[in-house]
Amino acid sequence: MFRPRSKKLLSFALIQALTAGGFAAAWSALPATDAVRLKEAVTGKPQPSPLRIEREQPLVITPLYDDADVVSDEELAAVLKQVQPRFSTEKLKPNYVEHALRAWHVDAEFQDPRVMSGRQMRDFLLDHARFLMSWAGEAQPLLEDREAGVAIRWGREQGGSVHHDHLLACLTEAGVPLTQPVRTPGRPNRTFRDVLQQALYDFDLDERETEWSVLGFGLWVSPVNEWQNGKHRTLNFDMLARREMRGHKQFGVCGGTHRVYSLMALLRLDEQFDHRLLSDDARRESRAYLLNVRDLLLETQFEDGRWPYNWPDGKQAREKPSDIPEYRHVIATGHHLEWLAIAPEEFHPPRENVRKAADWIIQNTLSKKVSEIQENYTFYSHVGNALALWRKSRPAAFWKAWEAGHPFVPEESAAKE
Amino acid sequence: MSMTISEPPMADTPEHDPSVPDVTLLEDKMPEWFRLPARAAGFSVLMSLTFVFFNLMPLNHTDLWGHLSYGRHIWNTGAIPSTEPLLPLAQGMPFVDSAWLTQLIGYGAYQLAGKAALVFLYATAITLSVGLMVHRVHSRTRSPLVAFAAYLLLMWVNWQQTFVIRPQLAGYALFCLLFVLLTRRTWSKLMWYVIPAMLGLWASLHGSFVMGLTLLGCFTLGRAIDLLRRTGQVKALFHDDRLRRLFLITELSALATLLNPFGLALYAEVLTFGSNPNLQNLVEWHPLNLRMLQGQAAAVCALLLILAYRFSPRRASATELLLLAGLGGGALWSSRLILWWAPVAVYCFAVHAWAAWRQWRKLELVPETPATASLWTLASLGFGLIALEMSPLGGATLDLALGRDAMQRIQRVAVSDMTPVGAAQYLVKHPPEGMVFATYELGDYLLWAGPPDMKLFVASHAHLVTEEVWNDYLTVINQGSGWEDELKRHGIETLVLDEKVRGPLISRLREGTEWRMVFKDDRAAVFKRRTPEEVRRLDAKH
Repeated sequence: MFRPRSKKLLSFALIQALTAGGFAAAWSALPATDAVRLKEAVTGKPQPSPLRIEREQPLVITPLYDDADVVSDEELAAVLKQVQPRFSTEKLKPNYVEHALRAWHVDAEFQDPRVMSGRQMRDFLLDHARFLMSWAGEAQPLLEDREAGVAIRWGREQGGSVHHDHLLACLTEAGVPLTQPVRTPGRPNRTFRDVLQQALYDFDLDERETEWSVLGFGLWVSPVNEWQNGKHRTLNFDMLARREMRGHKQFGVCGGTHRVYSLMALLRLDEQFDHRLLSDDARRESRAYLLNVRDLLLETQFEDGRWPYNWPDGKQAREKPSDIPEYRHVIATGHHLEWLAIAPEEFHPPRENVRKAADWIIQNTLSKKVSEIQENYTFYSHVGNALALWRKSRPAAFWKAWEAGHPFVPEESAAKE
Repeated sequence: MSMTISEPPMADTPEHDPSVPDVTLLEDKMPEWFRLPARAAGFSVLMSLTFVFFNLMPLNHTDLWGHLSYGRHIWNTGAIPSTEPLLPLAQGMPFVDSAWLTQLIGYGAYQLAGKAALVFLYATAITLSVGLMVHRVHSRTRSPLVAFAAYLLLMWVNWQQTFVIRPQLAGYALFCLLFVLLTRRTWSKLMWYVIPAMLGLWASLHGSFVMGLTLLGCFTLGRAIDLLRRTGQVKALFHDDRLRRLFLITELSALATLLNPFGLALYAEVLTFGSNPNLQNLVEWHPLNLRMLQGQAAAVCALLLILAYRFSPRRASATELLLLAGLGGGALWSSRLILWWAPVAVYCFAVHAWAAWRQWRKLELVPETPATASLWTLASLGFGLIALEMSPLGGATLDLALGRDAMQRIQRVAVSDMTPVGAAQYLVKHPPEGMVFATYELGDYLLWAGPPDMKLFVASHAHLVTEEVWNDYLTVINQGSGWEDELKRHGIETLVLDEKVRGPLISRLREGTEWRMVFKDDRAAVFKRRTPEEVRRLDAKH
């Protein structure tokens, strides 16, 4: 028989065991994401869970057309010569370098010594020491060590990347692998994977600019179709596609044209992965959206071939043109040509309209001095890339082949400038 | 001890007419357990009035309908969602629905008996809560006057928190019940089962179950502190039965709270909920201050507490101080926590004020036991039944039993004058395309009564949308810089605005050309975006 005191001790011990066991069982039964949330709630510190990314090389969306009537070899060479990245190494703007690297690819090489190679551009962006050499401490670091990886400083402050995840998307399209070393101010042994992981962690579906995040994630994460950001929000490509279609078209970056490109990229990736990326509804909505863009392009194209910056306004944009600076029409026309090059023909206006647009942009680009091109480099880089895509090529590959037959002559080049 | 109700013959009492029975000779033959003192009838009157009052309150337009919408979703899908299911801009957001059971019960009640069932549950929760506290105060002080004063003070301090019908009130009732159980003089074996079961249920009714654990923890810690103070010895802690029981029951209750669909994840939600940045814009989450009516009431209560403690001969227990300071501090941090502080504060005030009063007036320590009679029992029951019949649900039940039309009573239950009934009906008849932007306060009702596939911008669960979306909402509703662009950025094609507060915005929209008013009543206005063609024609006209 237990004495009363022993009974009390026994029941006390039993309840302790029950409580500890109960909480232990509850903890082990907790799904991983809930366990992370609880740890964060208790410790007050973020607990990033990296997404497993199988590939080391990014996916590539291949251009679909090789139409010399849209742009001839000579025209393409002339345009590409205009849009070579001839940047001063002093206070080099990351945004410019990103655009150049995206258009020219990491393998780009030039005979002209004044032109940065793809590798040089890549290293400027991913090596803090090189960034520091350019800015001499007059700008905050571009690369920041963060809880989930490496963040890119973006915004309008000098030395920043300007657009969110623009660096990620551009370097991805430029062919930079995840194993590419990244040297931050604090840690020299990071990789491009850390940049991607931080981008996934930071991503907010409702932030102003999502175009490049969507593109970057599409090229790395596919065909995985569900993941969580740092705030434990479950995301998938349906949500990303709908985000690109949200609201009036004019509110996307560059007159809404980047959204169109990212959406088209998602559709291409969805096709590549046997329709596992998007649901039927999201695919249908995306197609309807892009077909509407096609119709707007038909309605708004000017006689000279350009598409106006306010193309989302439809007929009104052509019938009552607003006083918009010319470079904005360059943005609209160049960007539209770019996404059309990766879009199936059902999303195209008649080929004749595409040729007219290409003619206009080629003439416009060739009419500018190199210094004017350099001032508006971000817009013209899209022109170079778009025209190369219409020849089912990339600027770097085309230019290498072209330079093999047309070597660089320094005096000739200086005279033309 | 039985007593016969008989009046002693008075000198001027008229002679009894022998042809009529003499009621003064009646003997109360009901058993002792059936008899109640006169004050019980008074208590019954008070509770009945409370019950009827809250049954006749109009149903508030916020919270309630949103919760019912989630209840409906759970019922229809047969599952508790893990991500937000109703707001498109909250898609994918983790959703720990800590009030799932209340939502389901509320929806079930509504399906059975409509709004009458909702006000019935509402009135029952509040009546139960205040009734329990009044009972406890009376059992400590034996003074009906003090109990009544406690009732008034509690109603006043918690008024703001009780006029919104929401799952929190289920937590409030359980909090008061737990407090009553923990302040019993004797420990009942039933408490080993009842208290953990309560906490287990509470964890599925509302996230305020942590207040229950807090209460248990404070009682435990308070007991330990008092023991240490009294004995100066740590080993005394190990020999005290009450402390041991409190400690164990706290553990068992914490264990019981794990019996909810989310397990430990519920704790993560409860710990982080209050720090959501979106809540900072909601007045009810602001710190308590004297500009608030409830702040003023709390200040008066605090003052009364200070006076009571100053003059009270009773020792202030560590438990009291822990609860008053902890819950009071919490209320200063976020005014919603005043709901939990008030019952404790009122109880402490009542017992200490009564002790001070008793000492001053040199009253008997143990007052005379009041006389009991089954008359008062019958009166108490009678008042209760009358109150029940006066409630819409009770009355409807009676109508059904008597073969009358019960729907009239059910439909007579009012909704608050901001509830956008007409706007919801309009939207059902003319389903909107694209996103619908509604004033936050109207969102819940639109979710409930609007078209089923409507894409609503936000509703009262502000913590479920991202900070960006919430900031965009505030920009629009406050007509901040670029507010019109925000509407375009989100593809808003329909606006639903309340007349009461957004009158100026409604007027501004009417004056402009972008929006056309398609519906208006005294509660809300509905606007539809004009096509660019329509806008151009109007601009040309002007």
